[in-house]
Amino acid sequence: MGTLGGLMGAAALGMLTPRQARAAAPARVVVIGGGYGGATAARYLRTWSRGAVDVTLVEPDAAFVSCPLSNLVIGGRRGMADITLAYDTLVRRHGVRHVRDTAVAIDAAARTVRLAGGATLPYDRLVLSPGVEMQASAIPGLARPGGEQILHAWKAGPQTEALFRQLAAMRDGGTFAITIPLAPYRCPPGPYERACLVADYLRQYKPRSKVLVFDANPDITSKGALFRQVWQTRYQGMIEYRPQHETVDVDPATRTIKFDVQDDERADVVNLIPPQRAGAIAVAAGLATANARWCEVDFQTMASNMAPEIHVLGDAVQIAPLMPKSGTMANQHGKVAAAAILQRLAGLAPDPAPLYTNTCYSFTSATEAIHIASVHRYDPAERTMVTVPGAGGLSTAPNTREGQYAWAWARSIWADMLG
Amino acid sequence: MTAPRRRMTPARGLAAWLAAMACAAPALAQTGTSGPASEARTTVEAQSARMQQARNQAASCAVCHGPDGRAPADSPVPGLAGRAQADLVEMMLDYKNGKRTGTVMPQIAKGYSDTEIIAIASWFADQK
Repeated sequence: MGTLGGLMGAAALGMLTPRQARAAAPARVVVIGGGYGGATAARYLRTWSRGAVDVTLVEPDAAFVSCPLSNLVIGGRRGMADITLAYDTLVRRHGVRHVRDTAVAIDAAARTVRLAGGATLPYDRLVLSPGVEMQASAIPGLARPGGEQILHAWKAGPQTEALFRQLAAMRDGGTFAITIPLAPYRCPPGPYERACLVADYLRQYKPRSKVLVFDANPDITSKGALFRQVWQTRYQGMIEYRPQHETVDVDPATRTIKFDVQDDERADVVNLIPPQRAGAIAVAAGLATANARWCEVDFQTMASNMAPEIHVLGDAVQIAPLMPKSGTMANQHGKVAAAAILQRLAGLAPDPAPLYTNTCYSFTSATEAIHIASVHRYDPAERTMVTVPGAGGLSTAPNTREGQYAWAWARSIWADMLG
Repeated sequence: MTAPRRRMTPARGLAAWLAAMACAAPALAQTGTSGPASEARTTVEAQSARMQQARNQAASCAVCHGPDGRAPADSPVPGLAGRAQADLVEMMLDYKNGKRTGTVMPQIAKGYSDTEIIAIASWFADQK
């Protein structure tokens, strides 16, 4: 930064050549996507550079809606207002420029991003936090008439409320089906939490109803023993879990689910969570090199293996061993990227060994929650993040204290990324 | 019966941290011309890198304890900003060694070396 300071001094004296003036101009970072990863990166780029780096956040929505805790809205315990936060503070307090548009193309050679509205944004570094894209084409029935009534509600927003309305409109004695794709998918314990919260609602309001969970995976993907325990006690006879049921199609007219092997199943509400991959723009930019689905990165900097000036965060990333696609993890990715970008811009080496934690709460009822925690450390030999042996773990049982901690987590991480 | 609790003074904590930084310095040293001036610069750069690593590691805690360890109002999870380094170190070591119970923290504390705990605690203590 010494050189930069010297140049700025020279600029003040009007002694710069045009080339030096360009070098002295603030670095420009464009962040695509205002979720847990992108908003965190934007905030920390501004905070840690003390405002010296220009940060433009490309995000079409005026407000952030949290996917974590959205199952409480689907279960009727909370409203959308409880999980919605405006981007205002990020703009006013931290000086992030919020462009309400959608990024449609990246030119890595020219270092520009083209927006749907027609504008082109140049960048020195790009942060790409596009989340996941539902692979709706894997389920042909979604494109048939009535397919729009088959909801995933796996991106918090209009579908979150709409799925609650379907639950509220269901007859007592009906069945609410949740289908889960093969891992990896966004938020490993999320579908099982949703089963709990739908059952919690039904137990109170429509007690003759059932929740059917059709899981493409061989067993519960996360917190299995704890979910099983609460299903066998609190929700006894209400939640039916069927592993190795891979959903391949749906008939929206009859709400019939088709599996690769087993017989069809009908339900009153079908909550179909399709397979996912990195957000469309990452795929279009050629960054999704792992099975054409996920973006491989250098975990020291979160830089794409395909383009070192593009840092990819969050659910779009090809995960390291035992690293979940979670909001906490995206937040940690955002900080690693922000720190690495600022080091690179200053001509310095990035932190050689990132170290961070994941903490993930799941509600098992309106008030009780369980957690899973892990510590992730960069392994120079493996060149990836590995979990620290002996660290991390789970709750022993659902409890109200962790229900309070889950909300504390939400308020803290929202303040961290937006506040 | 409870054993008397060991307390680490801030001075001892800081000394240990500085010692850790000194150990890390050769590994982090950048190549350059030799001589007293370059050695001094290398030491400053290594120290700066070490402090930045502590900042980065402390940032991980924000997801539950708030940005820079400043917890939102009325949070049941305590803030960490501006707390005495010795107190934070003692708590973390007690979590790590099983002397203090909790939900998440005993599991997380086991993932950090004592040196890292001392450096992270120092960073939080400096957030006034």
